[in-house]
Amino acid sequence: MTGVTGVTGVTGDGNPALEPPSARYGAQAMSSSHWRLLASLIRPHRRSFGAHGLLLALATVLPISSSLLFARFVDLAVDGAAFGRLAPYAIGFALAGLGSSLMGVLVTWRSTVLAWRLTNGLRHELAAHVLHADLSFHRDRTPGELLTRCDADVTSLTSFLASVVARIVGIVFLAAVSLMVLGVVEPVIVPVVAAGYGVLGVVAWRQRDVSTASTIHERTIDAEMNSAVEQYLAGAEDVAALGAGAHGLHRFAEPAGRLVDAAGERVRGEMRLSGSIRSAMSVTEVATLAMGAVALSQGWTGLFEATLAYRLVAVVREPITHLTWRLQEAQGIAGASSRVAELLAERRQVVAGTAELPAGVLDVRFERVGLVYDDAEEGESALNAFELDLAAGRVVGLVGRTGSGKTTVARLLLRLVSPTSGVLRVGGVDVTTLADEAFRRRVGAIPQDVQLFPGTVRDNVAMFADVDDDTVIAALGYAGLAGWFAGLPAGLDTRLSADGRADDDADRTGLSSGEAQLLAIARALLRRPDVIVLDEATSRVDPVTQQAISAALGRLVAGRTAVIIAHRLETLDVCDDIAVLADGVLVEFGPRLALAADPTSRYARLRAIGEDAEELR
Amino acid sequence: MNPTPPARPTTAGFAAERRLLKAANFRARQYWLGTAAWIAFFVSPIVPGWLIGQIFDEFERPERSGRVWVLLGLLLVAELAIIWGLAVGHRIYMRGVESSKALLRANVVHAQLVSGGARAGARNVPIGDVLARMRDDPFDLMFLIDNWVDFVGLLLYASAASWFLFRIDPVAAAVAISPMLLSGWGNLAIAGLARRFRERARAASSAVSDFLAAAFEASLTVKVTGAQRPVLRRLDQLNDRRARSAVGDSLWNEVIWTINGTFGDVFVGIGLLVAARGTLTAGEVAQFAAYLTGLVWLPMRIGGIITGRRRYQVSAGRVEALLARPVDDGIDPMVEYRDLPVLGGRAVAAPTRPTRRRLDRLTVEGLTIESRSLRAVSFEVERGSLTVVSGPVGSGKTSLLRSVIGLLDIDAGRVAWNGETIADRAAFFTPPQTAYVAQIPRMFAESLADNLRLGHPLTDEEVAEGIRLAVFDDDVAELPEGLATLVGARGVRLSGGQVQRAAGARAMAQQPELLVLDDLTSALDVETERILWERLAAAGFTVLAASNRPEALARADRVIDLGAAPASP
Repeated sequence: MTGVTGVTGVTGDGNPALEPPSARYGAQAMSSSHWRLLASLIRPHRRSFGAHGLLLALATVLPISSSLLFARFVDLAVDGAAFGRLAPYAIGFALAGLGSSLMGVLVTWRSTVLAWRLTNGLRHELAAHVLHADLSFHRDRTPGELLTRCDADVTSLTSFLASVVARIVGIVFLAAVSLMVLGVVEPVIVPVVAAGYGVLGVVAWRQRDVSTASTIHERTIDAEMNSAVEQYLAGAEDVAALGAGAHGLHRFAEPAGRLVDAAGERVRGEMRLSGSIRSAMSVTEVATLAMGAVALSQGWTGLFEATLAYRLVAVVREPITHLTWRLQEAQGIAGASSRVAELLAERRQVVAGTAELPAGVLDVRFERVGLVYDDAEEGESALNAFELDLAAGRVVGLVGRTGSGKTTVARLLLRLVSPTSGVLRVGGVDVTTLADEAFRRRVGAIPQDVQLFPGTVRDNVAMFADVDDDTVIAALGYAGLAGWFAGLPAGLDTRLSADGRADDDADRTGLSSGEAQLLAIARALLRRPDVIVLDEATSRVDPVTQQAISAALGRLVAGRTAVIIAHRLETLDVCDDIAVLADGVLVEFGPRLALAADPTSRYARLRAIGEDAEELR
Repeated sequence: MNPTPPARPTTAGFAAERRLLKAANFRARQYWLGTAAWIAFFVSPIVPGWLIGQIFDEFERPERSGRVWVLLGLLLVAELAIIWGLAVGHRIYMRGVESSKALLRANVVHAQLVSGGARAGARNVPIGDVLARMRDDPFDLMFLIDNWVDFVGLLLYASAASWFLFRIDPVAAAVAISPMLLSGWGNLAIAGLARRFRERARAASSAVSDFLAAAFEASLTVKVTGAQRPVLRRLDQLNDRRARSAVGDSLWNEVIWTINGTFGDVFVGIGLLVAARGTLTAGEVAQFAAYLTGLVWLPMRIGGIITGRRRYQVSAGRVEALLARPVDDGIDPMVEYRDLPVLGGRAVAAPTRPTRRRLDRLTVEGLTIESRSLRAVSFEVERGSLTVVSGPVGSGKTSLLRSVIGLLDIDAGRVAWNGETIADRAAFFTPPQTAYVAQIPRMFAESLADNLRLGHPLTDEEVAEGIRLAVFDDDVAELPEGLATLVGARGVRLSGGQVQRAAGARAMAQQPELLVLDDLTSALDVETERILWERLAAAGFTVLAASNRPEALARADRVIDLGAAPASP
């Protein structure tokens, strides 16, 4: 864990949610990183942004002309002009208003399209990062947390870009153009208005992160509350059967109470920012009127110019007021984007290279491989100078008590972790030098828990790859699912659900746990790997189903190099060799039949204890 | 557990508003103080509007007095007072509203976790959906009364502004204000369209979320199968679809805002056009512009209330589906505080533990669940005996155990405690009567001690005894901080066998009259399993267990084999 946390600055051990917020994020650390992420998001789309800027600049024409028309109307009305002279200005004013509306819709449409284009790219990048990440990454993060980053956080970035950034740019353009017009008509008032905008800009910029920390704090508590609720809902049966509803409610209520306080704090910051901006705008408006009054009394200027100056400020004020109601999105974004940036910055422990594997069935050799997990305590190694030589096409069963290192061997072979010492060779090549894609094509696995996707049976077997139907159906048949497949209402298009609580899984998906295991075998078969790893793949299956699976397993490992981990010894009857591990070291290795025949071997003693023994004493 | 979907929540009369006000009143002082601040904020633009009119009248006069400076000073004070008054008021308001949302959420959590009885909610909605409802629906519910606050404020403002406008030029005022009603009607038409876009966008958005959730849940599977590229390609397809519908959604929302925001100028233009027949002062023109611009927001709020009522129907329906069947005790399960732990500081009462009722004999008679192929299962469990349910996967072992203790509804049959039929099994079969260990038990991300107690007032000795009985003592001794060790996602990860033994300890610490174990020993080695059964027998527990393990079958006083040919009806 420390390896990861060193990179990210997230707290080391323990529960980060329990620590004071200041420990988790320095107020300073935030402020620059999220603006940088925004910049990096925008950079590849410079051209679209340029075009969008042009549109925003064009959009300023209408409010400016409506101001001119209004000022002229006032000037003429006061002079007692006839209806015929006033009418065109009133109509023009109304039409300019209508034009602004239509332009506003156009601007919004373009902004939104642009924002989604940008952030969908980011979503893809984040998802790719997560799906390529290794074990140490996933040990620290729940899938729910990753979903929040990739979904909610990225979406808030989208709405920030679409409704805040685009508006700010529009306002800046509008302010600049209105100052230029005012400069042409009445230069005397320009310094006052310009100074007002300057102050407003400085105030807004200095306070831009005023509620960043409290927003992050709020979201942290929100996430804490959600994960508490999530886990209690997931365990709702345990909770109900153990009469612990009130306990679960307490776990929700405690952060929920803090959430109200945090929301209050956040709103305080937001209102300070929006209040400052609006105050600066009010001061500018009153100063403009005052300057108009001075200019009028000194005879420097006329009513038209004074009115125009007031209107030009008013047309800038309107979108700024509108924007201040959107600032909540701007504050949320700081937290969201820094969390996203933090996630993207996390490096992998497992290194990949570019080497390719030789063709044909592959041998596997562990050469004095050692592994110390990065969250292990001092001197605690999961695997120690582990030696195993597995010829191509051999099937080995790993035996040993919990913690002996069996699962570590599987993880190493699947390259979910990298050896901290020694070399692991597959097909004679050091695995750390292999290109990822080539490696994954050749080394497959069947896990203990089979994960399903919301989607069709075809997607679930082919893992979304384009595979023709016959191949998929053949793989299902090989895995022993022909009967199950025949009963599907819509064949390969039958939809499975990944969701559902443990109790309802079988109903929802139409798959029992045994069938799910068989589906995983079909998944693996379809990819035709040369090396296959089974980690307790059949532990949740009863003896009857076990027989069906054993047949499928036999077909799966035939002609392949395989490593099977199972505490049920009968599962290992398909193995050629047996390797016995204890405390991260290989203590016995040999042909299965030979070991079984030798009554002094650990394997034979184990068999004598019972069919179903895991521990060696 | 709740087969009939509840009727669509009504909005007849002010039923919806009355219900929501109960939630608002959860923190009444904050809520109403904040509401007053908001209404004051909506009415307040009357003051600067009038002042600006006066200032422009001063501009027009050839002989200028010092009056303009007083007016300018007042304008600045008024505007700053409005801005900062709202800043304070809004914070108070938000605390009130957030508290109300917390109440709505707490009611959902409570109903979802409570065991049996009238207050238990139906647990048939996927967790992701429950979480989404808890996140979004309280917001959508409060949206309705939020709009009412705005509406009342704007109505007061509109009345005052109209009075000023009619004083200047009644005809112009009437001509300018009447098309606003038209715009209000336009709003409603657009709102209908916008709603369809919104629904489409929501569906597209959950498709992305669901897919991402599954992909992240299965991230190691994706990695090991090297399926990143096709998975990401699917994500891109879903992303594109979502972007298209989201653009449509936000576009229509913005159309409503934009039209209301800038259409003001159109009405001002119309008003000025009519007023131009007579004589106008500069101040009157300025007032016309100021007041008419503010008026345009009123029709939008009427639309907001109508939209809010529709959203209420959807959201209240979604929330109610998670709550208990309505009970006629005068307390609304959605919006009213019942026996919730208080939000924000105060402690929570321990779970109410029923009084212990000694078990002499548990009788299961004719228990039938057609969909789980359980037909007329009957057996008895004597005090101090071990009853083992066995059979292949899919034979209904787990369903049998779960239905006995009320986690599953049954089609026919009865369960009796010392001969007395238990009507609400879910409410009855909890500690200290029974304790249950699920096939795949859940541990929570908190300390091991909290996990074992789950809020029950168990003594340290009782917890230690549970640990010993479940043969979990060696594991606890090896944990870095013993019972105080944080377990779960952010703490120490327990192995499958450890989780099972911890869950066993959790159940046994309750010293239940009946211990229900679903395949507890599946991840235990033979030796540990032997010790466990010995300790349970020595402690004199009455046990109902599902297992196929030889050790369990050998020790059983009675075996119920579900694999045998089903009893013909």
